[in-house]
Amino acid sequence: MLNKGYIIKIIINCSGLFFLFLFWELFVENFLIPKPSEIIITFFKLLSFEETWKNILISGIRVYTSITIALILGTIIGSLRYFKKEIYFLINPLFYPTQYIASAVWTIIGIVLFGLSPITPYFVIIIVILPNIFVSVQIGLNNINKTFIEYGKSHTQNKWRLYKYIIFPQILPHLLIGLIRSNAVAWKIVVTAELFISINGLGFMINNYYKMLDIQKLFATVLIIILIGLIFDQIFKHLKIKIEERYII
Amino acid sequence: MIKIENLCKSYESQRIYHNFNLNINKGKIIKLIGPNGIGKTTLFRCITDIENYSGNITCNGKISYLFQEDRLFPWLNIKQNIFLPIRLIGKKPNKTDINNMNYFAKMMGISKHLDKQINQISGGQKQKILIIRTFITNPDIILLDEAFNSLDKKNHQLIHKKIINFCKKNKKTVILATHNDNIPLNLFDDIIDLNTNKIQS
Repeated sequence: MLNKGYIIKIIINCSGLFFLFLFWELFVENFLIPKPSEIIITFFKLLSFEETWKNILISGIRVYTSITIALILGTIIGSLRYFKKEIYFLINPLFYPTQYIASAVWTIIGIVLFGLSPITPYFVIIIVILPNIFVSVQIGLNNINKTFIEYGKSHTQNKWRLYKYIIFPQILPHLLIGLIRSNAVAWKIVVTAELFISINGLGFMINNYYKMLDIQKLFATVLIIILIGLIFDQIFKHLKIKIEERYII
Repeated sequence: MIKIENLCKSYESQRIYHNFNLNINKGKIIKLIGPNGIGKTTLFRCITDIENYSGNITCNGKISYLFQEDRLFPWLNIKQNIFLPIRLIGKKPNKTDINNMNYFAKMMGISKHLDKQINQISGGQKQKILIIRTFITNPDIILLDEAFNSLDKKNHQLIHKKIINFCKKNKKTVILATHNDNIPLNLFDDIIDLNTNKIQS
């Protein structure tokens, strides 16, 4: 249930944004920049179109399928350090430098590799998020409580069972932090990738409205992206808190 | 049975064991004494293969080790903690294991706490959960390292008595490392003093 303190906290958090919008509404007069009230009206109008929901669904599928694949791949590759150190040392140098390559560059590389195909947005999101997940796993492994491993070793030397019951649960909270970071990054990337290559999705909508110079709809689409990102961000944060509660004795 | 031959173990420059030998027959209840740092915990860690050592340690039977410090896993609830050793040896808890858990929980007087989370129980209750977890795999050899320190004096003696009597009845080999002199000596078959390397029967 929402308590009084929580509501006050939300009001304080939103007040800065409220005053910014108020200033924008009252004092910004530019034919290119629509007023917040106009954007909100357009936002609800856009939501009444079936096509908008289709595009939200398409972008959402791209984002969360890619995040899932990146999570699985990143966890497997990151965990190699525990299972096979030799392979880990071989892979490790490949991951850290990729973090410095911008998503737009990866989009171009994706187009070169896969052409203007539906695979490209998936490729770009996965390749950009993968180092995030990989690093989260490494932080998790660095912070493993060794006394728990000792306990496990007093019962079994089987590496997989030690990983499943003792190591992975300790990586999980770090993995969730990686997931929250990846959620924000993935929404940025999917729009970038869709701007370049797609014939559907929220990025395509933005590109389309830009070409038609329909700035109100363009801003309203940005608002949709922000809201979806925030909703999932809150879901993951809630999940993280629920899981972290179990780690406190 | 536990057979230790020529055990050598050092931590950097500190030599803990040098050609240490020990034979403990099946069903014996042993009290292991000695001052801090003499190597009581190290001996248990070598027996359970947590530490590297040179020499030869042979154990006939399943070992269960109750550590000196609390090692309950916070992300698991109490029942999951109790059944963790079963999962670690690659099995799933069956009816016998559940009966075992209920039997020991009744013995420890904590049956009504089994459905709680770890952070909902006291230090003494955690200690009792650790004891149940030690016995859940039906081990043949039980290593208890200052195992009941979190218990109050009354519980301390009572639990010792109950556990040792259970082990005697079921012919389990027990090594209990302790500084506590309040435990009645007649509960033990032998007392091993690591300081003097002498065995008192």
